[in-house]
Amino acid sequence: MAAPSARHVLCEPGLPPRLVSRPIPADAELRAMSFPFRLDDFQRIALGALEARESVLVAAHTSAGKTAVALYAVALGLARGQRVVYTSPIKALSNQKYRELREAFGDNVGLMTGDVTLSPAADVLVMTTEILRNMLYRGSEVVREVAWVVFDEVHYMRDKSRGVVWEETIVLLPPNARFVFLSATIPNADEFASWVAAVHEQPCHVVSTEARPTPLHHYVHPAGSDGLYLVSSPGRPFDRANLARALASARTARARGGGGGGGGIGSAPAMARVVHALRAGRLLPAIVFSFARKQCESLAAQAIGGGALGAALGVDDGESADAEAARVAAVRAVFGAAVAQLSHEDQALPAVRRLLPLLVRGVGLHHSGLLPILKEVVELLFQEGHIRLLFATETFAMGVNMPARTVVFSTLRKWDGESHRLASAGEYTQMAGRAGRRGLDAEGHVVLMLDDEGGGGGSGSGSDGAADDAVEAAELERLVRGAAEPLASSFKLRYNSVLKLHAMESADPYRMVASSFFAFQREAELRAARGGGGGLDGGDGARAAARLPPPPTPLHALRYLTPGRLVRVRCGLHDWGWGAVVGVNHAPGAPPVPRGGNPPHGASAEQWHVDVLLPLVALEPADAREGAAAGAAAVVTAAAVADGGEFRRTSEDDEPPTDPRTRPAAAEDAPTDPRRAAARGAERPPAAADAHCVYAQPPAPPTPLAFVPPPPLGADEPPAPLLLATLAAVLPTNTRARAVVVRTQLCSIARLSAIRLHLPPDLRSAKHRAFALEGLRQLHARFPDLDVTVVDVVARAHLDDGGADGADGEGGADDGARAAAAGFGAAATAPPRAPGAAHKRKGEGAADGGGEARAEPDAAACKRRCRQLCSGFVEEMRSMRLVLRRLGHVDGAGIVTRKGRVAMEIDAGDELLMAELLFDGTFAALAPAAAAALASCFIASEMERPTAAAGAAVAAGLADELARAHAALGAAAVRVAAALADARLGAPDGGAAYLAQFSPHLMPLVHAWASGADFAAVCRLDEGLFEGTIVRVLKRLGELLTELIGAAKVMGNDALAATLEKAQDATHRDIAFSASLYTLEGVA
Amino acid sequence: MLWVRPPATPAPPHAGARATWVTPGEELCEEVGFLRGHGTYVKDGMLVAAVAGVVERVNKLVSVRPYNARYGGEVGDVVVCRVVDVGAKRWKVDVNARQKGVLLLSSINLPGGEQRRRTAEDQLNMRQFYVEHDVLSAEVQTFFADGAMSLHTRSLKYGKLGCGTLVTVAPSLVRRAKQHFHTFDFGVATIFGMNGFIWVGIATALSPKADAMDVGSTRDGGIGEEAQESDASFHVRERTCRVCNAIVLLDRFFMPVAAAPVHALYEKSIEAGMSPWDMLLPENAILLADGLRASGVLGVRVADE
Repeated sequence: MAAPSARHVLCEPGLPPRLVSRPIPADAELRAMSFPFRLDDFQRIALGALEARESVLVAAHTSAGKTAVALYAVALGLARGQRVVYTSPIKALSNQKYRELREAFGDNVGLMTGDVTLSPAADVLVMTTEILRNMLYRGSEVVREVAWVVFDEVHYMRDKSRGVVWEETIVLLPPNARFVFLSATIPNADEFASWVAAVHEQPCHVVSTEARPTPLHHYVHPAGSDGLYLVSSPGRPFDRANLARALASARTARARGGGGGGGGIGSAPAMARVVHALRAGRLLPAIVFSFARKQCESLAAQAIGGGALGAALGVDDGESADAEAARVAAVRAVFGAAVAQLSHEDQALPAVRRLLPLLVRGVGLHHSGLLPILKEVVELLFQEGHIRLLFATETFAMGVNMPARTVVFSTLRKWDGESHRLASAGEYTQMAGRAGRRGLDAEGHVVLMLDDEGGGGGSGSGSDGAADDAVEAAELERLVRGAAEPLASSFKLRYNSVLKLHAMESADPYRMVASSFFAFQREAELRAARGGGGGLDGGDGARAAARLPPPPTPLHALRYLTPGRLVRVRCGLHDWGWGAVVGVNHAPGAPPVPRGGNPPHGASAEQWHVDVLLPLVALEPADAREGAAAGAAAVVTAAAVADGGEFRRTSEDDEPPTDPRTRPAAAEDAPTDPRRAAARGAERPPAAADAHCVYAQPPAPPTPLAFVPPPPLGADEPPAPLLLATLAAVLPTNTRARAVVVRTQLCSIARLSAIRLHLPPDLRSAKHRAFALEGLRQLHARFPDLDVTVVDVVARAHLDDGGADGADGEGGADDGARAAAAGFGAAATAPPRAPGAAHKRKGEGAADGGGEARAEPDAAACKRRCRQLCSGFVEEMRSMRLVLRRLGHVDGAGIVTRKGRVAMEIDAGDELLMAELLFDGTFAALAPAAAAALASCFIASEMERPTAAAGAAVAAGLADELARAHAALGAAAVRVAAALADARLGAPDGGAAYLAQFSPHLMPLVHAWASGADFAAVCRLDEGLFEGTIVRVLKRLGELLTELIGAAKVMGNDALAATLEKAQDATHRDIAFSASLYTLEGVA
Repeated sequence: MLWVRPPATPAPPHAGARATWVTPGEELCEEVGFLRGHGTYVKDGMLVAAVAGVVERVNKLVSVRPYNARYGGEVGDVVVCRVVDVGAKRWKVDVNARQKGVLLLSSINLPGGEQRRRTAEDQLNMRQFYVEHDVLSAEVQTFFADGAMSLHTRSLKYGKLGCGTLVTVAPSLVRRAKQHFHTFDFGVATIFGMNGFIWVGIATALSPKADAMDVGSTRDGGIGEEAQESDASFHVRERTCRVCNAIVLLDRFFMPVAAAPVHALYEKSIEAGMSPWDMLLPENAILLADGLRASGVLGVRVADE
């Protein structure tokens, strides 16, 4: 049965994505792991793909149950003794996942984040994506052994500053790794999967569902209005009338109250009304999201105060005194156990002491400014159900499932560092997804509090109310309907990566750019702009969903399908193995295949059929049933060959040729409807009666749309069905294998080998076929993995298109394509040798003319591709090289120098400036604490940046040593900025803008901490910073210092390394580095 | 025949006219304001050379690159090494360094691209991969705390070497290049190991199999193994010898060992009508070396674009 609630698309290298309606047997046995609950459709499909050892992208809402898929991948890896890597975008999430996986799989789980490393030799490793990236560059053994890589929250790839890490990681992973991508719903999931398929030459499934396990009701509460107005509920359109009523009610209230009305954004009185309503409607527990940490704090304080909000929350009505006492005791116990690991001084911190009264009253607080340990306490208590009302910022929306019955948005506007903007639909969906506890609540509730100025933002309160309402309604509707945002690449070049790729033998920054998702998306756009390359249109709506036309079409393979070419036939999940092309036929109307040219525009892949000689084994009916029962991939009803007018018989000699007119009845009513044909072929296990049934069509597909039966070649010439047997694909070495010529469609040619087999001229004779089979057998013995010699049709096709269209005016493109294909062409056009050595390997052919010659045009091809697709990056790369050369990271010959190697070590801060400071001896001249303080300038830009004036004030007040250090930094920054400006990469302002990134405002604080001050004293130094922010600064600093120590060792200066190690020891202590509760045993 | 390395001022191999040669104990500069790098130590407030070699300065960092020393190694270097011991989960290899290098079982590619599963048996099968005296190409992955080098075969380019000759030169002579795997157009391939071990073999045996971004690729293990004795015709062997002797000659005359000078010597020796075994006769060697110096090949590095 096609799963109604889930969409399943298969992306294969070089082929357009296509919808798969029946991917796996519905009752496929899941051996690796069983789940205590009934799996949803999308989960079953995804697990089926995993069972087939294929990559999968799961796009679903937060609480839909994506984790089950990840868990299954982990179980699969463990069952086979292979390694699994689980990456998550943030450390806090890694800690949660570590705990979750440990609960599921026991001790064989390790954790690696920037802060902490636990059992790194375990088979399952949870890590941040950055760690995995660094492992890949280093060539770690983990990478060598990894079978599955799970990317959690992969939509994080949009992130402007860190998104590039995902792209680099995915590109760098070894080809035999398989991926599980977990993502929020994204409209262009197919595109992403196609990219993965293209980069790794492996199929990638997309399983997506829009369904929510608990449907959502959306209410609005405009400030001042008298209640919650339902605007959207499952299965009903957005209720504009009710929204209008709500807004009108608010306006009257405002008019009555005059002026300010309900107060500020998400103000306490308005919040009190909402909480009152929630409590009355039994809609607690609730999460109140606001985008400002200060607001969270103040609301939480009021919720336990005596004001309106406190009164509204009151006490839990349904709770007896005993239950309350038990709850309070439990809260105190958890809190006490967590805080016990802090030192006495830290336990007395105001931030710590402030929290307990809240928690006891069932009020929680969760934002990034909170101490990490307190955040975790709140999370644990929330999961235990001890918190009725949680005030949180966006950060709470990420990570493991922590749902509430209701989610309240205290405002919809968000300060994104530049301006107040409306929350995006993606952010809204993620946060709203916290509403509704699976299993506990039948449905979730979302309340939108609209402030005076309207949720829609721009409209002022004084302007025409009705017009505002209209704007607002449209905006709200967009949010509530939750149109997902597409995943766009945020690829960028960083000096660190460029240097690393430069230093590596056989790597090249241009390759990275050419393989990036950015290039892939750009290419698709170009294609779209050109009006598409014609070709395969599945007509199944799958393509319509993705905004892009297919990447190269199967038509590009045509020119390579010369007789004897080894190809891998594959339809859906069913792999027919490698066979040799016998011939290509096209429908009468179709244009002929141009020799060595590009497929004609406007042609359709369906117009061509390929006859392939495959090693198959005829199954006894009993075998067939057995095979089907065992889920054998390739037990399908096979087909015969009819070659237009010219007749090539492929039946076994012991079988009489069947006269078309005496075709069995089963074939007579061979359905023309592809779906029925498929159902016949794939769903019904071939029974004895069917064993002799014939379809003059390709191997019956498990995936109907992929495998539409070809139209009759000649209108009045009925296809001649011949061979009537149930066949299964086997290796040519199988003694029972027979060579059978099967007709298949162009789109089921999955791979092309550079190898060609010398085929006997007439395959009608069994002897000749046996001879061909022997050839296959020998090839198989010599190259067990024929994939080694795969022809990259995808890359070539890109080049071909560039050349053929001439749209980009690159005269050399076509020549380049020829050059790139030269190695291949040599093999293809070489005259067949004696039958015994009837194969010629691409590698050999190329080596005759010099091995380098082959790699050379390939690198050039990458560069050309870059130039075509992302000329911006090529320009930037050139400038970056100028900078690197000028600063001495790379020498005149492009070799990375020692300075460059030092810069390679630094990833957590600006590597160029850091290298200057290291080589200038600035760090070496400092005491450890001052060195730590100087390093803190490099992370200042990630944390909240004070105004320039405030920064200058701090700089003026710096102690002598720190002031000198910062001055040295300034001098070096001017030098680097000059190099950047000369290469047109920075503003020619004498380095002012560049220097501004390295604000000194954290220096006093870090210096105090590294000199041994306690945390409370450090917090007093800068009242404007939250405790959690300070901890984050210190943790980040710890990472940077670790990198600096490595850099000092590369420099060969032990004294410097010792200073930095001392600085790190001084920083790495107490509350700032207290272990995460998730990594401790026995807490909660 | 004994051949003495010419003691007279050799051409500085790595730098232009600015290169300063120092001997151990020679004072370089005051310590204040400078950073102590490799090959230096501090004595009485002065930075002093600890080895004989060329002074290098990057900003304030002063280091001395030794002209004749065992291989120090840097992460990411391509090296050629020889297995000396098969141990527990590791091979000990000779990398021409102060200590034996280590190649961990977990750091190699399994043949056929099989993905490693960590079982008890795979330790028992180690001899199926590499045994004593096998010559391998590998990359320096990291250093252990005791300074020993840990190697890995990052991709299918690396692995066992067969059908060729190993030539050893002073490590300081090997130029760091963009590509250390080099195939000459006359069918001879070389791996210029940064550790001074140079592998010279038949091109088919060395030509890399992968042209993709094989940064972490594990599709195939080993190289050159499938080259047969029969692939090496007399002419190929003769060319191999010529390349070997060109490298030996570069080492004797203390000239940089890289693809370009080797190629130039190869061409010149043919022009001069020398057979490979005549190249190292003193008079011929001097002729070739002088010719090479005059040709300017030594000063030119292959640009990367």
